[in-house]
Amino acid sequence: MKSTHKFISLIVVLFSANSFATGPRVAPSLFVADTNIMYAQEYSPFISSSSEQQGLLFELINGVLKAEDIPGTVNILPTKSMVQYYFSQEIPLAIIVHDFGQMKADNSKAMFIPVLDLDKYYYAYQTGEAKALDWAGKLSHLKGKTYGANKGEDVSAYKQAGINIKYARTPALVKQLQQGKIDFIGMPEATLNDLSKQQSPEQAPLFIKMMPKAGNMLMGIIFNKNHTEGQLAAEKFKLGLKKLISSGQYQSILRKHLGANIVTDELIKRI
Amino acid sequence: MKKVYHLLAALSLAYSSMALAIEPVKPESVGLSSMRLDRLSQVIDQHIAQKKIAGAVTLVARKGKIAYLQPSGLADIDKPMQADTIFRIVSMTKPLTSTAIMLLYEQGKLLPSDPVAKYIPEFQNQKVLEMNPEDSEFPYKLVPVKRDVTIHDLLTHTSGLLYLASTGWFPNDKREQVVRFYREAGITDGFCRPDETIGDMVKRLAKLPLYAQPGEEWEYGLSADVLGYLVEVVSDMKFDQFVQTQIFDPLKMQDSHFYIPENKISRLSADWNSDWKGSLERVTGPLIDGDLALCPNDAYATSGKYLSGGASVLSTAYDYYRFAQMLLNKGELDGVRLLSRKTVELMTATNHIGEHDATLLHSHGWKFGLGFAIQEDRSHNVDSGDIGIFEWAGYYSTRFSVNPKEQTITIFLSQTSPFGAHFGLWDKITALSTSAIAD
Repeated sequence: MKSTHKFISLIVVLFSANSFATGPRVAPSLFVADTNIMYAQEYSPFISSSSEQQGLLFELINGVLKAEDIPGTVNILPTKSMVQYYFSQEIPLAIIVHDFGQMKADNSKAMFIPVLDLDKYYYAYQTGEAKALDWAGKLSHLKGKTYGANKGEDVSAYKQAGINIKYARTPALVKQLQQGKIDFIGMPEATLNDLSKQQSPEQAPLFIKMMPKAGNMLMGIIFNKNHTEGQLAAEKFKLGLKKLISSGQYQSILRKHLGANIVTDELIKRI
Repeated sequence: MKKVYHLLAALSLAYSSMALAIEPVKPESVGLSSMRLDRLSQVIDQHIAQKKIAGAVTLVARKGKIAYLQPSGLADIDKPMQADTIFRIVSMTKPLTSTAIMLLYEQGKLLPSDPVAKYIPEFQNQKVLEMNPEDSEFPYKLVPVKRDVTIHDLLTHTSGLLYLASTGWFPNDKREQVVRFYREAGITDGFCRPDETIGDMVKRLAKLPLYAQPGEEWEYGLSADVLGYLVEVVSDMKFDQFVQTQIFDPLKMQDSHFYIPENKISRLSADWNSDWKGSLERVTGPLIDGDLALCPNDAYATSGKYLSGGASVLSTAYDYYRFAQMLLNKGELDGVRLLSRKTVELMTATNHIGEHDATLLHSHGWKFGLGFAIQEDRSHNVDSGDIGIFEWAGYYSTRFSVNPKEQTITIFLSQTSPFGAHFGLWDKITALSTSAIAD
């Protein structure tokens, strides 16, 4: 019994806090698994690191990933070029995109699965010559005006129509529109509503939706064929998305984020 | 003409009556020469006469007493400089931010060796940008950090975080590529005041690639802004509130603010643009030069969201003297102990950045402590002072220098752009204040 006591004491002394104090410090990053990583660009309210469910698109995708047992960690980044870097130069499992039309992804290794397709509108601000921005579906009607674009956005059609371009992040574009520094911006209604309410809720009604719609924003997930689990994960995801829709969970997530009046059947037909 | 004279006389009287009631001691009583201190006035007046600068407030203190406090020239058009004129001290905010961190250290709430990610999770799994060889298909790659960025890295500017403006100071392809990410992510240097919180900015910054592996290069940048947010996270207080209650109030720094109170706007100096050849103009809008964006007029805002730990504070020569004197006294001022002697010794130690030199403001021979540059040796091109002197400066031409050996403090506050033209004047001022020592 005495020898057991001595042995325990010895162990306690050897492994006491002091005995570790001069040892190497281990950084938490050493323990983070780096496989099955996915990347997404912050785009409120669809992909948002500050909201509880990390945004509407994220919640839909995460719902499928969980249900189909597709393991993965999503890293939300502040820039599109970082997301593009990871897809082109590394082998992530997937990237999540909020505007497939604007994402340059190598088709030979990309498997895109659409998850949500929303209308995109141009918006003006009431103090910014709203009446003059009657565009009637033709960019040439907006010649001489200034469009607020994201860095990396394809703006060739605007330039061809004689429209000036100013670049900034989406939240900054909304502010610049209010300040009269730009004349119009383009985004889904949910994004405009989210940002305008965050920034100055009392001025939200002053944003003017320019009819007709400017196009659509196709959102979804691009799996990487070069990833060992990419092909299988993509197939599982497709099936899982169908199940999410047939169970009604997809529709309820849409209603939670976009309002009870959203016509979900119409949106489902588009993907 | 008579009317203008009367107006100026009235203005001068009005302002002098408002001016700070600080009575400097006779310089000889603290071992300084009055005659030699006058040389400071002569040099500054000469620069004003040559329209290189519009005005300045210069302060020299020794052995705990102010021996020289000289307002010179104009604070604004038709507004003479006063001893209590308020200045944008910009990067002289950084030592205040470091002090805030060291207060939390003394409260047992953090350690300099802690990974920043312990408090701000966005700092986990950071990447460092490395350029690929020139003939590569893709210009760069992102590699994992060898170790996490620590609070010590932030305090010593060895975190790998940049200033966007550094593309103008030290241009190279790697820096340009990192700053391209900064631009796309809406990161700013904090010299203008964006309409967002510092936390919003820092969380985005943390996700962007670092310029260098943590601890491996001395790179002056946004580290102090991250520290400001860290203060918020650890203390659960807004950064300005923390600094107000834990530093400004105890040190009786009554004219130091992140956003100027309405009733002090008239005391804020204008900013001037000088070509250093006789053309001096009051700045009316933002100053943009490549990636450098300065918004001196943002200082007139009485409120806002952005609280930059690297740039936001407005202060006076007297207030900053009180802060510097606290450091010189090893943590105590007028019976109030802010920091322990050991903490100030840690902050002013010269061996924090290893073999690297802090060569932005100085030449080789200067190291960086926990918030300021420190003179380490005399084997390089050093003009004045002693080993152990610690100092830093601000973008609109402000500078402070503390000499622990001689117990002197020198503060020069002007508001003139561009920054680069002032090095010679600052060096002369510290040389003249040093050579006024007469015991």
